[in-house]
Amino acid sequence: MKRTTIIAGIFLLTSCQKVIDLKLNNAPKQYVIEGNVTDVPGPYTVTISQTSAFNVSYTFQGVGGAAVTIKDDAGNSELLKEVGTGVYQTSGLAGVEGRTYELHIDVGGKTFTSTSTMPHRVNFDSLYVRELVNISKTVKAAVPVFTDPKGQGNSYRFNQYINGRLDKGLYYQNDDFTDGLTNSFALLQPDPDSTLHVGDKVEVDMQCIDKPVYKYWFSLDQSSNGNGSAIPSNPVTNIQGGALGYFSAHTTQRRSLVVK
Amino acid sequence: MRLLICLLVLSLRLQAQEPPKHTISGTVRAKVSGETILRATIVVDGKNTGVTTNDYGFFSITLPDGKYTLIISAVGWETKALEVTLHENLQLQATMEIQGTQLQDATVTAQTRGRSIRGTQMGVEHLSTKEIKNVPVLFGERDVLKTLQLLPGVKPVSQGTSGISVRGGSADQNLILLDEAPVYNASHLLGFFSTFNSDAIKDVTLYKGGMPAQYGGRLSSVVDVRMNDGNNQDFHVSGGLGAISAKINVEGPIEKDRSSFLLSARRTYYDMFLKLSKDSTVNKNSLYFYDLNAKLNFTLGSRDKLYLSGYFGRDNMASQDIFGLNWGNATSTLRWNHTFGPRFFSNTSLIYSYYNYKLRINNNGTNFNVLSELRDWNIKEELQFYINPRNNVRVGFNSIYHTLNPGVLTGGPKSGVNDTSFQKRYGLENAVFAGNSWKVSDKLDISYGGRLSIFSALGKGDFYKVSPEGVILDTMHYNSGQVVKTYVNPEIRVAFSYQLNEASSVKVSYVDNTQNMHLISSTNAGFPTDLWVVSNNMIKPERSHQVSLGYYKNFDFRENAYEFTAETYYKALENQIDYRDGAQLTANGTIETELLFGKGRAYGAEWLIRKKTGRLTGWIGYTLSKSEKQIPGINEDRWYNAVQDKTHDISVVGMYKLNPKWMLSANWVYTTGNAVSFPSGKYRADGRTVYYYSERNGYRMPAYHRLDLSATVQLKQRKRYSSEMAFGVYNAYNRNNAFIITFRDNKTDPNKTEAVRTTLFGAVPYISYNFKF
Repeated sequence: MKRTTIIAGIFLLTSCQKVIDLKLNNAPKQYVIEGNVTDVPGPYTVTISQTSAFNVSYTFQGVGGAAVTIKDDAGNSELLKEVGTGVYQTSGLAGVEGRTYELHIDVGGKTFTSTSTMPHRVNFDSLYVRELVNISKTVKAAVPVFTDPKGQGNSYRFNQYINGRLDKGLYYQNDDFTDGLTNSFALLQPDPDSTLHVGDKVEVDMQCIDKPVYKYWFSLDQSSNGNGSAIPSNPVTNIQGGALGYFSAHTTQRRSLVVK
Repeated sequence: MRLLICLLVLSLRLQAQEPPKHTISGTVRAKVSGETILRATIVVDGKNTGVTTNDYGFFSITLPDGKYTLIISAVGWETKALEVTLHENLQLQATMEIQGTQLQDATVTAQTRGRSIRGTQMGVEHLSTKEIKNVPVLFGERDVLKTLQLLPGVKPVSQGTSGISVRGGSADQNLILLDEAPVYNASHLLGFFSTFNSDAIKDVTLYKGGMPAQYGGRLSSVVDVRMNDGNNQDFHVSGGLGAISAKINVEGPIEKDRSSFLLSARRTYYDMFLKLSKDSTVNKNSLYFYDLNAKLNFTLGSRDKLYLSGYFGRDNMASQDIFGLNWGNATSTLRWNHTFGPRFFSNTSLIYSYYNYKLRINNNGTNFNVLSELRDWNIKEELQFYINPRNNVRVGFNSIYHTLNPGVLTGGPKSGVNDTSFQKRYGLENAVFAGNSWKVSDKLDISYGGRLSIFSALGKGDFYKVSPEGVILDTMHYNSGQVVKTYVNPEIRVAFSYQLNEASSVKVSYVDNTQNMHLISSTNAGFPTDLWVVSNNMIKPERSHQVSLGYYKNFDFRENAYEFTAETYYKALENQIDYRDGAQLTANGTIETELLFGKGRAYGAEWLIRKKTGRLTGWIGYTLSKSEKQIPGINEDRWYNAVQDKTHDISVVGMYKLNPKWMLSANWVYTTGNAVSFPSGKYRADGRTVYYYSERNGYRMPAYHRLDLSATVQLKQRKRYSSEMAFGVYNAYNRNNAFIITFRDNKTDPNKTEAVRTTLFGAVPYISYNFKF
């Protein structure tokens, strides 16, 4: 549980929250790269964009004209096609578990590279809903069922869609304390938008990710999501060359249910 | 080091041949309670010579045979004159009476009204519980650490909390001692109250610089808290009902004049209000803390005294049966005072400190417990030798054996987790120290000494060689008790004081400090689950070197006594610890891979003007300061502001005695906001807003200011029974100070982001009732 949540909870009689105007600097724009390769048929997408100022409404500012290549350790290589400004896609590449993928980008005189290994798939057996207590409230939350293979080093990430809308809570796990066990941890976040209600259609994507990608999501959640629980900093990226973002080769499986 | 030897030779050489001498020694006590009085001054009338009582109320002064008048004085006590004829060694048990409550009685001698102009000690602040009593605080819960924050150079680490930053240092750089036992987490309720129940406290001394050689182990400060011994004259019960807690204090003689006991307890009842709620999810929550302080002391013959003191405190936070976090400290100290003849005082202490936290999760199928603990066994020996009125030598040693158990996770079958335990870590921290306070002439005083810190990281366990990138290059196994690494650090402690005239002086001091216990905190605010680590092959001892210069003046203005102090300091820090971006600090068996090391610097100037007499008393303090760090791997290796860097800090404290019944008080504080990292841009990752940070701590929180008011009224006194009511308002003009500023997507337009300020305390009124019989 987050420290600020706990403290604000204790002093709930006296504490208050208010949206304020804050003068923030506009740092020079940075490149932001997002790339995914999965074990389901492509196309796979790499986006190149730029950061926007804090005070403006976010729009995707794609960076076009880049040379984007993905190759794997089995000798396959593909130059991605720009399908929209800053959006690059594969056409023939097939993601295979166990393979290592290399991303190479030349853009605006800069070179960015990254590698990511797609872990072997751990079967996403099923999904069920459990009642849990979340900061004094009983809530419903989905539990993805899978059995972690013996041997440490497995990492997972989940995306939850409630009635087709992406739940912005970040869900990730590794097997430091759960090696070889069947998962019992629920997708639980304090945000009301992450809470399930009777009749909701819930779809959960389970990704098996490698350690650097786990580190990216872990560090993003710790210090870059604005909630002030740790000293803020940029997430630890697996992209070399000075860009923000990540390159993730992962397996993906989906299970869904309707909350009863 | 050579300087120290020269000084020693010099000071001994100056002992010329004089007529026969004898020694007056003894203790100074309060008449009403038999409590020893610390730092009372004993001055020989007509001679510019005197001593102060030590931490046990003991003094010794050697003079040529003759007739003398000794003037004994201490802040808050009636000055007393004693005639003595010296032709053999004398034992003196001096008792003092509390200064009259009538205002007209405020006749104060030069010794009692100022901080000592003489003496080399600088960078020091004393608070007695009497002073703490009248300062308004949050919920009216008197708190020594919060009252210290009103003094220059001392600031709260995080607003509203009792964690302190002294001269730009972090919270873990304070050595907080309760009857000599280090207290590792001196806070309750996540930092909002300190562990010190002011009813049980006799005296607090804070050293911001120029620490005497007997103290060591932390870089920034020493907070030496001494518990009451217990009244050895009469039985007394006192207590109070406050806005959040109830307290009771029982003390009395076991054998009159010779032995006594003290028992003090406090418990909060905030959670009783939760019980009143009809909402079953609220009324099953619990949130409380309690404290127990106990002390026994015995006089064994004329030369020996034994003290046994203990503290036990615990916090409990639980959400139904589902989530529980409880934590607390336990300390105990056994002390033996012995005088080997009139000029030789010895104290031997056996000290035990323990801290632990327990986390319990039991949420419908997910259930496990986490236990983390820290244990110290500690022995300290200190000898004080009053060679002659000009030289007072202290020598001693201290050994601490640390055991740190970072965490044990237990689940059991069907818990969803595997039982896991992290390696215990062991350390042996030794120090030898020696120091002399030398009165060179009527005007010049020099204190000099040193401390040798010898620390050994011990097995058993696996130790790692970690590359600068945080990769484990090698793992080395050590057996139980095997030395992994030893660090030897000499520490020089010197101070000079030069008296310009009767009422003013200048002082200079230099002090080194070494720290081997480090708190790895992701919040810098002292969360109970923050991890303590001990120096090892990768984590080097932190070091600090501080030089300070001060000017002190006592003066009278319109028949009232004032004191003025100005001090400046510069502190260089080595082996400062920070952690990598995105570090995993909890449940990490190889924490060394997440740490980064660098240096720091802190400098500033502090001014204090204090009105000591009259109906209105109080002070105004101002600090201008800077605290920075440079750690390779953070902020592109450039210097950055430490979180606790606060440029300006003002505090105004006033207490006004309206009439014998009513006391009014107010304090106002203003500080520059903490240095923080705010985003300088934003982007998306997999559909989520991510904030972009361009530098570490480049922004400031809004300035913090607050006014607190309180009034205390003495209720009708009966023969033995007296009571008082206190009313107050914390944050009287309801300033919305930002506790934290967070960032989030706008609910209606998720493309927009907004900054949200959380304020913890608006204006909070309180009332409390205290009694004594």
